[in-house]
Amino acid sequence: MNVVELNNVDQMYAGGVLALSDVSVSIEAGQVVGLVGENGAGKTTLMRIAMGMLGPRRGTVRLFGLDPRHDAVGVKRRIGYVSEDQILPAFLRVDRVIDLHRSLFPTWDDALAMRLAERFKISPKAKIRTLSKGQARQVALLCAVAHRPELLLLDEPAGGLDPAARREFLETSIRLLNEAGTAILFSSHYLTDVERMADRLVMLHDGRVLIDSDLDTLRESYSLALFPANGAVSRERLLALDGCLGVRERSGGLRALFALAPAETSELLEETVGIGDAPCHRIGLEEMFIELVGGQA
Amino acid sequence: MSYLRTLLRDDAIRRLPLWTVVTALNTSVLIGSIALGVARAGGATPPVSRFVFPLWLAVAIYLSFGPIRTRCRPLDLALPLSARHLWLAHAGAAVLAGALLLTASAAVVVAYGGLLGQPSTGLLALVVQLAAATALAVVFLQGARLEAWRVPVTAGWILRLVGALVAILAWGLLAADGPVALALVPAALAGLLALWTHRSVPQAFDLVVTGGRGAAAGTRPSPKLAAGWTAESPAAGAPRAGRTRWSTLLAILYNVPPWGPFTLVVLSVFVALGGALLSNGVAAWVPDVEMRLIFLPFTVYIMFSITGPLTYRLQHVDPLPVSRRTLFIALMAPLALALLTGYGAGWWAHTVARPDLVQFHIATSRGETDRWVHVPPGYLEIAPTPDVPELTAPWGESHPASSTPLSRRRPNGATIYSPFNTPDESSAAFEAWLLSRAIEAVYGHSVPPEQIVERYFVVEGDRVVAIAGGGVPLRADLQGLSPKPGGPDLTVVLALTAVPFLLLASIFFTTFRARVGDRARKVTFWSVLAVAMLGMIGHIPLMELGILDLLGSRILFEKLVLALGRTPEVLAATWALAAASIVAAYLMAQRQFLRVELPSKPSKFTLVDWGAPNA
Repeated sequence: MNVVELNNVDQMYAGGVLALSDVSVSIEAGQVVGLVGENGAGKTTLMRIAMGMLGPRRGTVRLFGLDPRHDAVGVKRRIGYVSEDQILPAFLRVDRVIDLHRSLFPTWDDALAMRLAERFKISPKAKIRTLSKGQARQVALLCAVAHRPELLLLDEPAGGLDPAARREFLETSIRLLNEAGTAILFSSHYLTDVERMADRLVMLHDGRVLIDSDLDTLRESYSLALFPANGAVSRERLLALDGCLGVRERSGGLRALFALAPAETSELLEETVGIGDAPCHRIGLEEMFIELVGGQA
Repeated sequence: MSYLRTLLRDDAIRRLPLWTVVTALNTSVLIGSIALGVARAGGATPPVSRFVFPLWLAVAIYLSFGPIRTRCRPLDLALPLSARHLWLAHAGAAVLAGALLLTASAAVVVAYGGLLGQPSTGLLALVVQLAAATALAVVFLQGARLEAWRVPVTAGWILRLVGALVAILAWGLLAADGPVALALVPAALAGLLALWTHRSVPQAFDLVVTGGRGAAAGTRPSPKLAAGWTAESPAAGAPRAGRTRWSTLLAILYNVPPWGPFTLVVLSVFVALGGALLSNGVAAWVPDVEMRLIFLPFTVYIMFSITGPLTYRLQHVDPLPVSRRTLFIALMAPLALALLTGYGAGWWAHTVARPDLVQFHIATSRGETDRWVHVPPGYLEIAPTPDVPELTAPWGESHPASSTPLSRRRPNGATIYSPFNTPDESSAAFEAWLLSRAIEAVYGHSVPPEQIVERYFVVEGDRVVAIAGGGVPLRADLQGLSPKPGGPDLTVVLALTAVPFLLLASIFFTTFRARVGDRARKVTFWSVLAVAMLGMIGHIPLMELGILDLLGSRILFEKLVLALGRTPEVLAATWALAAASIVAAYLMAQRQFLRVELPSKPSKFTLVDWGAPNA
């Protein structure tokens, strides 16, 4: 059974803004999935739907086989959640926040909490408002992982943190729990983090899933073809080809992203548009993201 | 950017429409009380000084809770505007807003002119006086923490605010009957103080203000923080689950703007006050209070106005494994507890502290002596026409019952009458017979009229001219005297409070959906609040139009309650109906709460500008 199962999920905000459209994502136990997309792509909405904090307008959502809106308490007890928006109450002391979480999660691991608290060097008597942003996020992380959740949802958890704090945060959370078989879904704008931590990448664009692939496949099976500015082929013609994910104009030429290995892309281009000498090469995640976002029709 | 443009985009001006509504409603409520006093005084025009308090309160609420401390927005600090420019624009905006609110308040007074006799022509002069004093107060307040874009709430600020408010009130009282030219004194002082303060404003405001609430934001933990973790630290210690869970959840939910950690206290005080007023507890000190029913919409209004801010912290607990039903109980239980506590306290004051529900009074005015038996309003009667029954004693003496039309508009319509009073001069024996009947009706205890004459009345001829010993202390004289069961009062009051409140809360919770925008949510909240407030002050125009009579409404209500308690079957049916209504309304509100989808950024749902949101 999948830990997370979203099928054909739609969500809409005020003014008819479509936040998610026909999104289907499933995550198995132990998988680390990076969720990427430009601002407003629907990442936070997807996370909040998974948490049961929003209900889908259409489609089904199951976590551990349960409906997170209907079995909210049972589901949330098995989830750790940290988001950029979810700020801890500033007026509470760290120990009170931790105390609350310990009382709410039956699987709370005191030893792990203690270890993390010492590692983060946070005073239990300090009020949240006296902590730096990074430290406050560390307290949130401690609360999210110390009950050893079966699923960890991290929505831009490291947003606003410096590179060192970000790395420490992600490594702590992801490495610590993934070793124990926890499934992790984390969204980030830092594609290097995703490349380093995730097994699989889900890319959202305008509320739709554009890519859902494991990273190894992504590295092997995606390529970028470059066409000079001579008008030999049009953007529309390229977009109509099987496997073409996006075409972007740059300096008069065209850059087309294909869900094919470089050799397969060259072969396809020769067969379909008669251009066999277009340079094709593998592409990094960050470049792929830019090509995809900029190359959508 | 010109001063005028900066002034017009200042929050003191931008929020003026909402504050005008609040001011108008506040003034309406106070004018209602003054109108009652005027009515009791036979319509005599009140002196202008009588209006100082309502007008002062309008400006006092604004200065205390309005956008006075916030001199600009953080964004303005990034614009090429000097702090002096921002300071001057904000001070000007606050002065202008204060003057406009005073005018709005005075306009309400004039609008209710029919209730107040002829409103004094000195009202305009009073507005000018108070506006000048307000200008001085604003400039004085703006002298605090000149380096700050927003003045932190500190003991110093509170002291300054209290001083300013007292000074405005004192000036209003002193200058109420004086010439308008007197206003030049505070106005000139305000100008001089503004000039002097303006020169002391630094070139730029600080974004992070030290001292007060802002201080903590700028501090950083000491490097030895980890030392605090001991075996007793919660992360390593023994379980303390139950206590911690509830106390922390309540601490989170009830620490919301504008009152912060004092929310629960403020909430309890206001709701308990509503409960106490609804229980008629105030009648322990002030007899003949007809306004009890007005506090039904008042209590609903207070409870609903608190519900909005209580949604502010839900985002903190939403990701936690706490059921929505539990959260709903956590939000509703303190309200219910405060209401019941207030009602209980009022009931205690009314039934224990007040000695007698039946009283006999004698008053002489302009050579005429009035005698009357006072009974609770529920024991008065309503006749369909002005033809009220004659009161005939066993020995044949007969007089008409005292009466008054239920509606001033319909003098020939339904009429309130007292079966225990007559407007005629009657014999001492007849007065004693009336009092004896009242005691029988209210207490179910029989006291022979002869005994009343002998024990309490001073008689000359056959008329009562005084009360022996000054009063009729029935409960002191007759041990064990207690009123007859009064009917399911609490049950009815609870249902009439809880059901409308929960229905309004249901409507409000339906706006917490992803597809509903923040603006729509706010519009719904303020509209529902306005409806609740209209219920609170709606009686004033109805009274003025002669459609509603407060005493009549209260008699009808209390007679209904007495009737509902007459037989065990009706009583049980009343309880069952009230309980079913409350449970149904609760389930309806809970159903909407269970479906709540919280926005990622919560709204404060308060006009009060009292401290930054304490995330």
